[in-house]
Amino acid sequence: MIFNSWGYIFIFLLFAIPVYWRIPESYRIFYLCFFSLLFYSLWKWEFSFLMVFSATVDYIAGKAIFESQDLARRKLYLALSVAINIGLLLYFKYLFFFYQNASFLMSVVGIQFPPFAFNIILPLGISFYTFQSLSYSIDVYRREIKPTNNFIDFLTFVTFWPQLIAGPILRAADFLPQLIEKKTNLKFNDISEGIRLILNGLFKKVICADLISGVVDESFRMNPAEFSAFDVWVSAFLFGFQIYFDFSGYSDIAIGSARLLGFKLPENFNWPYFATSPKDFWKRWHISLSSWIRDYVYLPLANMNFLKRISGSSLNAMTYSLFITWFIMGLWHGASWNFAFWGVYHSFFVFVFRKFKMLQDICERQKIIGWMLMLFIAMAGWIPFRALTFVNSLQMFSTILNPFKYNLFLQKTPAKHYYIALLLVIGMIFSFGLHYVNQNFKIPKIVYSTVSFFAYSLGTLLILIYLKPVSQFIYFQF
Amino acid sequence: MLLALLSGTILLYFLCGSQSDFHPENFGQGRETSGREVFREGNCESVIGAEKVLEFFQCIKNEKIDKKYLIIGASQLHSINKMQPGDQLAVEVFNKNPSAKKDFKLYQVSTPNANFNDILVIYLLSLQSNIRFSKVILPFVHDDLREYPMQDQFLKKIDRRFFGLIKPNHKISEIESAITSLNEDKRLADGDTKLNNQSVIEEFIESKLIFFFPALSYRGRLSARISITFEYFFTNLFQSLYKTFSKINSEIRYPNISENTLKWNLDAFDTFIRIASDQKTQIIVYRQPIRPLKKGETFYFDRIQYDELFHRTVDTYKKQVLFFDLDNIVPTDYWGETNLGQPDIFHFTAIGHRLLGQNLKSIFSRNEIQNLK
Repeated sequence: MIFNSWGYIFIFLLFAIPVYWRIPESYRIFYLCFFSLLFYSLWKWEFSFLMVFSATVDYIAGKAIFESQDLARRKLYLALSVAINIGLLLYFKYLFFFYQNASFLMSVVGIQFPPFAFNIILPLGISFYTFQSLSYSIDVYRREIKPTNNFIDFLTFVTFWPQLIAGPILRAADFLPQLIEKKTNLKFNDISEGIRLILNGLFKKVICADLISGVVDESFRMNPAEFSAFDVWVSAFLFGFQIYFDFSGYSDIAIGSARLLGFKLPENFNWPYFATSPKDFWKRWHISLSSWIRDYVYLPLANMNFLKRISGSSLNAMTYSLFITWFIMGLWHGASWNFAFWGVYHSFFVFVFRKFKMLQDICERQKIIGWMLMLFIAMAGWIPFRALTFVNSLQMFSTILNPFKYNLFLQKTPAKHYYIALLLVIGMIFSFGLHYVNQNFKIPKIVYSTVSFFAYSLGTLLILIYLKPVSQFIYFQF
Repeated sequence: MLLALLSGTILLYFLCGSQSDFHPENFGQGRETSGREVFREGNCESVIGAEKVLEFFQCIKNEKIDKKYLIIGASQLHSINKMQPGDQLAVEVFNKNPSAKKDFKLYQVSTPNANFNDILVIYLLSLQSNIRFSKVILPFVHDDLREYPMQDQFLKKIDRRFFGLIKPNHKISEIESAITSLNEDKRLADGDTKLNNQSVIEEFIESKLIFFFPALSYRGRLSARISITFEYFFTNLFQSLYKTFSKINSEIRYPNISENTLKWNLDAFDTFIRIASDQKTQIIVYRQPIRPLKKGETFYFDRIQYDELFHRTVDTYKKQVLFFDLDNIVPTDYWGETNLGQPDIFHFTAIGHRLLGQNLKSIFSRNEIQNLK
């Protein structure tokens, strides 16, 4: 089930949530679990068994790890949990990619692999729920949390519908206590905030992301070898905005829907295009994934004795770990070299800013310079994310690095693309200004309420006009 | 927040209700220009777009006419500026036959922004429907060679098994790979990411909403109206700012057609000629009328380059194709305007259609057809 649909509005928002608050509290967890599985099954019910299997593995592993006092056994149970979860991910997401690359490498040395038809369907949201479920076993292993004794609680944590497909990625330590906590009636503030977030999210998705998607598709379908540098930048900016609106829109609806059910989910985006350095950007973009990767991949890798030994020092180990982590993070987004390149691209800039402290200092002190620089770094980073092929990405990068390509008469993309990109940048600065005023100045309540009323009325109207059946989110494919 | 939600919903209902007279499908053709289609039971003369194209070919097949001709092209063929009741398309003018005996008929398939790849696909669809046209007519114009990529709606109607019937040396690999990629998209959409069951739910809810609130059926028109208004406002604004700041004037032309796109379209034209020749179909290509210039006006594209291209094409294919130049047959006064208020160089009034129809007819009725070269 996708959020931007009549089905979600009628079945989940207008039916499931009000009924949730009317049933006795002791049944609510079963009800929530049932609707979460229904939410997933409306895509392909067969794959809900896979998700239940993954959850069962980690539930059993968690208990076994916790109850065992023997370190070797605890490690074994954790290894089993990791192997099964990652194994599922490798099979469904990366098998074809590995086969393709192995077959290419073998063909170089003259060995031909037989053609093989991979008819593997990628289960929706597998990367998200696998990470979420896996982190539970790791946290229990690290003795950071106690395992739950209630399987339904755990299954609901893994399958919780508002964030099931594309996050925010939850931590058991934050979410399981909320599941157990006694909930009285929903507060008016929660209703209002929940609806506000859902409307914000739908507006971002239905009006902004979906309306940009047409021009983005048009841009990236064109031959990049003929682009001027301006064409490449415009295409990169357009996709940068599309993916932001798409993904942050999803997160807003997820957080808003959870709020209506009485749960508080962590923020996933915080004005990422106003970041002033790469480090700052990753504290603002897909926050739950960045922190997950930091806690479960980057830090354990950097602290590995093996890595310290081969790199020669702790500092070098951190650099190695940085590049490996980002490479993994890139591939997590999709089984393609484009994504791996995207990951390494970002690690390069994190490394440069870390290595040259002066650059970091300038960007922190002169925020405008930091913002401009980071905006262009982040937008160029989306090129490999969206380009149709790896070669296209390289062509686009070579164009923006070629000073002779900065010529308006070489323009190949339609003028419409240029003004939409321009309008989006203006809109971004304007909305950040409004946010700043709202945060820093006391606005009379009557003014705030009146402006909000008109803005949200217009927003609702536009959402209802443009809501079209089944237009999915970009991050669903990850 | 709840109040805003409610007022937005009520506003939607009233705004939708006021859209019954708005037809967004006509908008892309320019100001006061609308499309005309002559396809109803017992009379198939012209069809627009892919939706009914196979039924159209079936209808042609059932008609008992000795000589069947087909014209395939872009929106000029179906658009009439300032259309009045009784106005006719060129194809209707062509088919008007004062004598009772009717031994020939011209049929028309057109689609907005058609390029030669689309035209080739439409022709293949006619062959797939087992119709052999004795003549096929194609308009040739600079701007259609700029169009890219293929229109999916036509491709979807091609049965891949049909390719086996076409001689293997014809270059239809572009179409085959486009169909493969379409099928792949469909497979991904069905199996991977599209929410199958959800489509059923969406359609059910939408139909119930329209049943209880009929005005909601105009939701699409309302969204089109907003998008069009937005697009034209900002395109105008952007272009005037761009011209002011970049000091671009009327002497400066649009970028030429990219070499790849031009080659891509001319390859399709070449394939079309080979396949049609195999079918013993006579091919007639005419240079499409475009609006002549008024004093002080300049072409927005490179006219010399276009002339060269046309003459080069004539030289290359003069043995297989009959070429005619109808470039200037419709005087300046009979053309429409674009939505930006500029002269529309592609769409004319009913008088333009009459002139085009009569010119096509005179070409056919001439005993010796004059080849340009």
